[in-house]
Amino acid sequence: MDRAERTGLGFAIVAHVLLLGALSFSLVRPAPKLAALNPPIDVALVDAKSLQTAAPDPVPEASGPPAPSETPVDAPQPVKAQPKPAPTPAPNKRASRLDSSLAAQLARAASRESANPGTGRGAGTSGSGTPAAKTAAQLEASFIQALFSQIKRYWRAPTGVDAELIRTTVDVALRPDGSVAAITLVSQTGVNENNANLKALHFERAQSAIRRAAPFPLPAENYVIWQSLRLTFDKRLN
Amino acid sequence: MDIMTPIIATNAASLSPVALFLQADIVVKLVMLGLLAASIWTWAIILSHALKMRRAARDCDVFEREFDRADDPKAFFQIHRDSAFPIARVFQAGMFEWMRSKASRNMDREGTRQRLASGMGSAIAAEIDRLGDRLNVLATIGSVAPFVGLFGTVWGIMRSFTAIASQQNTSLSVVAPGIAEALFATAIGLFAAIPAVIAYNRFGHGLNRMEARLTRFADGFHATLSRELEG
Repeated sequence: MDRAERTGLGFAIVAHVLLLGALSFSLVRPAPKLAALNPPIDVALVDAKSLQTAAPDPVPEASGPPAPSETPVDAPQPVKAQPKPAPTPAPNKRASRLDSSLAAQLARAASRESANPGTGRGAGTSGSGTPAAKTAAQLEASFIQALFSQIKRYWRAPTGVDAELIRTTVDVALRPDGSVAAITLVSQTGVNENNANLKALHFERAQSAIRRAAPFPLPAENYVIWQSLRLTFDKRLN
Repeated sequence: MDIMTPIIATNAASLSPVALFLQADIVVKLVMLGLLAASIWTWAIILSHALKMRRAARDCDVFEREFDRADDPKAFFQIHRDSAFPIARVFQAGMFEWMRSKASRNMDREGTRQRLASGMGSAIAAEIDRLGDRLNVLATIGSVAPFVGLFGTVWGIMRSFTAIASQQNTSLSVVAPGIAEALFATAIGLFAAIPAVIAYNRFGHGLNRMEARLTRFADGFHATLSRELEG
């Protein structure tokens, strides 16, 4: 190894160390971009949770026969009876019953409610008035569940990069006979530059799924509640 | 979310080469170290060879200028008797042969011409060999380093696929760091190979030119000595 080779080796080692150092310190910066990709997952988790917390409430009650528990106790009856009948259809339907039996249950529940209006009114007037509102909200939730269980077999979510992040919310206006009057787009979340080309398709698939699943056999007495329903379509649709 | 956070944290650091190296498998680490050594060696050879060639060319310039001005080869030989650069060695080889042939009593002119030519030719070949000593290393690194890097990459990607299988999670944040560190091996391989190939071609060309230059000088000198044989 002569002088020229020693010089060359020295320069080469110094240059490599400098290059490594430069790469180590200047390339760390773009990292935060990666961290920003995750928040959409958070939103999805929260939304799924809210739907589930609405459901578990009626499940234990639905398993037992409602009639015997209602008759012997007098005082708690109105409060207990009101939230009970409305949500029962939801879990049952989700347990893959046929649509006809499901509609029949909804009708039964609604008629049961209208059959003893005295207790309902009494509770509503003597209490704070919240139970009635809760019932309407729970009824609406159960109608939405009913719609979803019917729509589910027609729903094909688009596939592609980040397609599972898109969530399309639509307002469905229904006629009294259960057919679809109008579908309007409310909002779409989870759209980023990767899946922007899929968002129109997502809405289109949601529309066609609703139209193909129509008509929806919902109880006519509660038409006020279900004449307009807000549905959110995501990949799994529950 | 708790599972995601550490991956993102390593992701943030993994863009620096040192972090990529530290995350890698032992096989990939060895590949990376070998390729880094190859890169350093390549550049050492490139720099030293460039220095050597430049000095040789400068010595040639000076020597040829002085040789053109000198009237008597023998006097010029006394000056450059111990010079150690390529063109001087060729000159010395010619002069040694000339003096030895001159010393014998019945000189064969044709034989002397042939001996002069072959003596200087072999001196040229020896000098070119000496100058191009390390260039075969450049050729080897240039052709082998990409494959070694590719080996590291294939190994690293195999490893990250087994990681996917064991975690049963195909999300990009699980797959990406392993593949990034694996691809880093190919990147180092190319980083070592590209300069090696360029330098090999350039230096090959430079050596050819140097050989042509030495041959031209040797031919000229041979012509001078041949004329002297006749005179």
